[in-house]
Amino acid sequence: MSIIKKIGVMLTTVVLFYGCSKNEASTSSGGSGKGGSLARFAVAKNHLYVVEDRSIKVFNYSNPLDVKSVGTYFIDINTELETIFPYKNNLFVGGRDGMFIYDITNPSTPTLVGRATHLRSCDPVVANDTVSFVTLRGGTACGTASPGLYVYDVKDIKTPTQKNYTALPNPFGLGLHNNTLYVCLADSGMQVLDVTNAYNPILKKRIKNEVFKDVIVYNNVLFAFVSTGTSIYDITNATDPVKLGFVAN
Amino acid sequence: MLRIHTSKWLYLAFCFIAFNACYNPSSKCKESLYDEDKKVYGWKPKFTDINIFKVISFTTPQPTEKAGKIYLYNNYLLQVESGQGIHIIDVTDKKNPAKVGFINCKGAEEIEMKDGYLITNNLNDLVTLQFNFTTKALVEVKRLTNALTLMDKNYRTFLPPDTGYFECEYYGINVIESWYKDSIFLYRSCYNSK
Repeated sequence: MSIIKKIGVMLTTVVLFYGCSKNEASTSSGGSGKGGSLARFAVAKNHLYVVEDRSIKVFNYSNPLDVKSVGTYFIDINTELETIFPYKNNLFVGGRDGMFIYDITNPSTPTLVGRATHLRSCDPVVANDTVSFVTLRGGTACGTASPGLYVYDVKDIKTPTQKNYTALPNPFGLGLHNNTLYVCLADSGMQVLDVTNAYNPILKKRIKNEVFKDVIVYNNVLFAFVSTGTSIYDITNATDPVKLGFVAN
Repeated sequence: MLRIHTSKWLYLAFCFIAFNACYNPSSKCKESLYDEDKKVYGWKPKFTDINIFKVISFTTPQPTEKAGKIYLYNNYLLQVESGQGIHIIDVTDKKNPAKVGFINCKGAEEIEMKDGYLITNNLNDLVTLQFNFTTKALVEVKRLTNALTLMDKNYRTFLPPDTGYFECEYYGINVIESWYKDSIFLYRSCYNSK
């Protein structure tokens, strides 16, 4: 007998990541295109990783015409996984309680190497140029975790360290463009943050005329999934997005 | 948000005990049995053949009702229509983006691309599609049946269109095509307050 007792409000944890180079940071870089920050599918190293509630499923996509299931890797933590973002040899997996980092040096066997579970603020250690941003929404179910934007030092992948926390009412997806971070806040619009100093994001602008859910940033253009359709913004001036076009739902 | 009502068997067990205790057929036991048979007005699912839901096809642009995840591929923005398929939006002209078509794919929630192939889920099947963005030709090139367990999540896709009681106890493999209002057993129902 299969009964769904509860369909909770999903907490969405999304992870963005960028290295020391000033290259365009992508939200999903492994596939042929670019996904939003809320994805459960990610292609990296010729493999497709699918985040399910308690597991990561791996498929070999070396030949898309002959896809093979490689395995299912369960997480031993009582959490609910929701998003995935691949970067180099790692998968950054967002869950209800925080961020889980997997090593994919061997792409067919992801191994959990690090985690940050939002249970407490960590002591500031040392500034470096490798950082991840995480948003967490509707934190009450997680107990101590609060909704907002979390900034982690992930230079040592095994011990992600929380560097900053900004309380935000209802954050959804986010996108990073060089030193500018775009955070979707649904009814509260979108915040544009200067993250030149990643550990101290500075609010530059709020765009309030649309209900933002997720964004994709590419080549000075921001594609926004908004409640009424899709909006396109020019972000040549990164902190001052200018609306170009719109497609209605 | 959803709650399930006490099972039939608990009621029966309770009544059996209560009946023996009071030895009076007209006492509370009868009411309990009535409770057990209690019906409410709510949403009832209309099931369909799962194979009908496993046909993936391309069609003309469709209205977006339950917008889902987004994906950018060259000059095209793809957006999931939660549980129904994928909208294809041409964004070549940033000032005049336009929907150019829709891929019907039941249960769809996810999009990825690999070597030009579109990867999504069709219910719990992992499917790989060859889609020509210019000619709009669509070919299913690979399907891994029941490779995924997203369906529990996608269950939300198949929630009734409005709040209230809905039948939520089914047996076997069932694919819900639509919902209609009817009298339903309370003990087999959940409540959707969202």
